[in-house]
This record gives sequence, C-alpha cells and structure tokens, in this order.
Amino acid sequence: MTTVALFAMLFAFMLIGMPVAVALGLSSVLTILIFAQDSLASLALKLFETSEHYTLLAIPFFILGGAFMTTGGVAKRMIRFANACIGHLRGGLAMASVLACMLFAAVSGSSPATVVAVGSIVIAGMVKAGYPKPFAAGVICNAGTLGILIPPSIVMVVYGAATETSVGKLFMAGVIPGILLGLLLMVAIYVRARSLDLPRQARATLGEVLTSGRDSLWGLLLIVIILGGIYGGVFTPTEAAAVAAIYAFFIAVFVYRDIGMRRVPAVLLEAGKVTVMLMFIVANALLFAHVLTTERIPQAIAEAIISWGMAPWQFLIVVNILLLIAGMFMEPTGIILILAPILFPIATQLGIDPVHLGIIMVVNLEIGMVTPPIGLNLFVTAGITGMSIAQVVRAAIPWTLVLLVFLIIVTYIPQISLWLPNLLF
Amino acid sequence: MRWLERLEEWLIAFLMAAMTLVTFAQVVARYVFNYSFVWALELTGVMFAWLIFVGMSYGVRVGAHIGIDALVKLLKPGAARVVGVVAAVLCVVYAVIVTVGGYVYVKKMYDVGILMQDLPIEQWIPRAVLPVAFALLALRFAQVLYRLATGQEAYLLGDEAKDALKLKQGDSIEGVRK
Repeated sequence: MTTVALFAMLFAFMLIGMPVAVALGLSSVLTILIFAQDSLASLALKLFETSEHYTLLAIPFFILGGAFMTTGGVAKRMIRFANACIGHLRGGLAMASVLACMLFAAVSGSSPATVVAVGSIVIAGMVKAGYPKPFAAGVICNAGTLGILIPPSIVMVVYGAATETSVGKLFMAGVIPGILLGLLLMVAIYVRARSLDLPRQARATLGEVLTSGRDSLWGLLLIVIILGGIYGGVFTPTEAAAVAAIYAFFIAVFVYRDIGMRRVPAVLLEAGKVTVMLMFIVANALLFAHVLTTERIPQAIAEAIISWGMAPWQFLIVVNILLLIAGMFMEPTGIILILAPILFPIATQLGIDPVHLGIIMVVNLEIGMVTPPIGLNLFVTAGITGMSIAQVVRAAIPWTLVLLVFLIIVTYIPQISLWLPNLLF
Repeated sequence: MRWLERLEEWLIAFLMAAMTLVTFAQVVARYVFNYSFVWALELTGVMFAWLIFVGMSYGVRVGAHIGIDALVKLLKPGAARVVGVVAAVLCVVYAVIVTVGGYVYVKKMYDVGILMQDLPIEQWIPRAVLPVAFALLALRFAQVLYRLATGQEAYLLGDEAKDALKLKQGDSIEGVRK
C-alpha cells in the first residue's frame, strides 16, 4: 500500500511537470507523514546528510573540471587530433567525431556536456563536407553518451556512493567498454558510409598528427592524473576530482589561454548551477531511497525474486528491461539512487559482481539519454542543430540500436568490464 | 531583490572555488608538507551543504531544475496553466514542509548545543542553512506560482537544451561579464 502510494505520487508529480527533484522529495515527505511516524525534523536531517557523503563530494569537482575543459578550446584540439588520425577513412569525419567524443569523455563526466562540446563543432563540419544532417546529429547524439561510460563519470560516482562500491574500480571498469563502444560505432559508421558513399578527407601528414596530438595532450593528461592518482593510491576519487579541477583551470587559463581570469567566476557559477541541479535531485532521491528502505521494499523485492529461483542471466534481462524503461522517464542519478539499493542485494546474492552491475546500469542509462521523453542528449542535440526533437529521435534510432547490441554484449560478457579492474586492483 | 540575486551568485561561485581549493590544499599539504588539516573535511562538508541549499532557489530562478514537460506541452494553453498552477502549489507545499522540518531540527540542535567534531562551532550554525534556504525556495516557487497564475509565464520548468547552448556560447551569467 505504502509502496503503491509512494510510486503513484512520484509518477503523478512528474507527469504534471514538477521538477524531478521536488517530485521525488514531496512524494517521500507525504508518504512518511501519512504512513510512517517519522518526524519532520528527521526528514530535514536526511536531506542535510547528502552533503556529508564524502564520495558525492567528487561531483562538484568533476563538474568544475569539465566546465573549464568545455569552456576552453579543448574539444577543438581533440577534434583536430582525431581528424588527423582517422579522417582519411571513408566516413572518416564521422568516425573522427566519435573518437573526439571518446577523448572528450575522458575529461568530462557528463554525456550532454560531451554532445555540446564536440557536437556544436563537428555536426556543422560534417554537413559542410556533404554528410546528411540527420546522420551527423544521430552519430553525435549517441557517441556523446560515452561521457558517462569513459571515466571520469558522475553517474559512476553516484553508483559508488549508493552501493559502497569502489569508484576507482568502476572508473577502471569503464575504460574497455568505452573503447569498445566507440569502435562499434565507428564500424557501424564505416558500413553506412560505404552504402551512402560518404566522402573521405585527404590523409593528414605525420607532422599534423604529431602536432595536434601534442596540442591535445595537456587535456588528456587530466584522465591520466585521475586514474593514475586513484590507482597509485595517491588520492581518493574525491581528491582526484579536486586536483583535476585545479589542473583543468590551470590548463584552460595559463596553458591554452582560452579563457581569461575574468571569466573564471562565470565558469564557477555555471559549474555551481549544474552541481546544484544534480545535487538537489540526489538529496531528494536519497530521501526517496530512505523511505524505500524503511518500508523494507528492497528486501521484499529481493526475497520475491530470489524465491522465483531466477538464474543470473534471467535476472539481468529483467534488470535491463527495467532500467531501459526507467531511463526513458527519469534522470540517470535519480535512477541509480532509487534502483541500485533494490537491484544490488539481489545481484550480490546471485553472484553478480557489483562493478559489473554498475557498468550494466551505466550502459542502460546511456541508452536512456537518447530515448524520449526524457533524454538529455536528444534535447541538447536538438538545441545545437536546430532540428526538432522528433527529427533527432528518428536520426538517433539506428545508432541507438548499436548501443543496444553493445548492452547485450556487456551484460553477458562480464570480463569486458572486469578484466582491467581485476588486473589492477 | 537585486542584491540578493548578486549575493546568491557570488556565494555559489565562491563556495565552488573554496571547496576545490581546500580539498586541493589538503592533498598538497599531505604530500608536500607531510601535514594534514583535520578540519578540512568538515569545512568542505559545510560548504557543500551551503552550496546545495543556497543553490536550490537560485536554480529555480534561472530555470535549472529539470523535469518532464512533454505532457504539459501537449495540453491546450488553458489546461496547461491549470496544471502548471497545481504543480507550482505542490512545489510550495514541499518547500514549506521542509522549512518547518528544518526549523524544528535546527531548534533541537540549538537546545542540545553540541560542537562540531573538528571545527570550534556549534553544530546548529551550519545547519541553520536548511530552514533559511528552504524558506527562500518556497519564496521562489511562490513567485513562479504567481507568474503562472497571472499568465506571465506559460511553463513551470526551464529549457534544459537552451541552457546547454548558453554554456557553449560562453554567455556569462548576468552580472559576471566577459
């Protein structure tokens, strides 16, 4: 009864257009007031405790680092490098755009930010070179989702915080799937490019490859600092994020000189705004998860599913379907905080590795970002191309199928995710 | 109201910078000077809390909070307005409930009067941000409600895609110019 009321209120509040954070918060608050005897004060405390979660503190730092990298011309340098490397292949410009998304994902922890940073430059470039606009938009809309799979990743930080899984391991686990998805998209582009007879570019000289490579090296060092620092035990993921933010500031202001000191407050405020938007959802989703736990809902679902005697592979089908549906309607961090406490104990019982489950969730949420009605990448792609949401949705579908195939691969071959972290840790 | 808006913006920018610098300094101190500030973590936590809660109402003002508007946008203008007003009322209700809860909580902490772990401040002081910020949030939602009810605004939510673009074009937030 309580569960039904809780979820019914959540859906009703979201459908009438309330902010996701408030819909989560109000449905939890009302449920507690009506069905449980918790005091109002304990609710307030629960919201406040969000700020005391050490792992979550990495979020503002990763966002800030990403903001310095986005505002600066880091994306431009990476695109130039990617073009020099593979632009000469058939459909090379589109493949280079995917490579640029992969590189940018390694400095940014967010998918929409990756779409904006890379897409606003390359989509126009592709159209000018003779690519159909929907082709260009569809590729970037999907390739941008690599932002949350290739470390650093804000979604992984949230998963780590929700399930007490090592963020370092999760980051490492995202590397190989991230590269694999990039390659899959490139292969798909190559196939399409041959049938559409898309142009290739002149082969870049070795000098251009080296110059552009060296030029984007400063940006790419960021991920080396983060992964190396966490892996080497030099700092915690939260500290790594703070160091990365300072490094990104230094590179953008003093090395690349893309932004002046006077622009810094604006970048800080912009990063603060994104942080607040996300953390307001996180705080309320934690409250929602708290209501779920006090009502023993995760345990009840876990017991039910285990009593059905589901095999792990069957459970993973259920997980994928559930997450794909949730991903359509909800924002990724909210989904992680609500569903991870439910799925995690079942997965552990069935012998599924928590890190593997994390990667499966991230890939599902990537797909959620390119499926309507709530798909941030769709909105952002529509914004930068001037296409309607419906047009972008249609343009994105063929590439989203690649993501779905990739989801199946990642779900059923755990080694893809687990090989690297198990080797290192 | 203008001074409050400027204050909000500078406070958010300041808190972002300060949190990052304190955490960074902590790492440097540990490795370079082999020294660690015990209070750094607690201070960062307080700043994080202030950032989140001060930022909420700022987020309402600049339309940063996301939600599903697909359904509302399908409605006829009149119906959309009614739904929008209902949604805004519920938002105000939420903010008011948490304001009251926050006040009760902070009052309790004040009566108990425990100090923080590493900082020489009583615990209720940083936590006082809770009722204050949620009261401010209620005020911001009430403003949105007023604008929706009088027809000055058509929808409750801001436009996320337009926002992302603004970030790209480097449009600075008002007040902090290029």
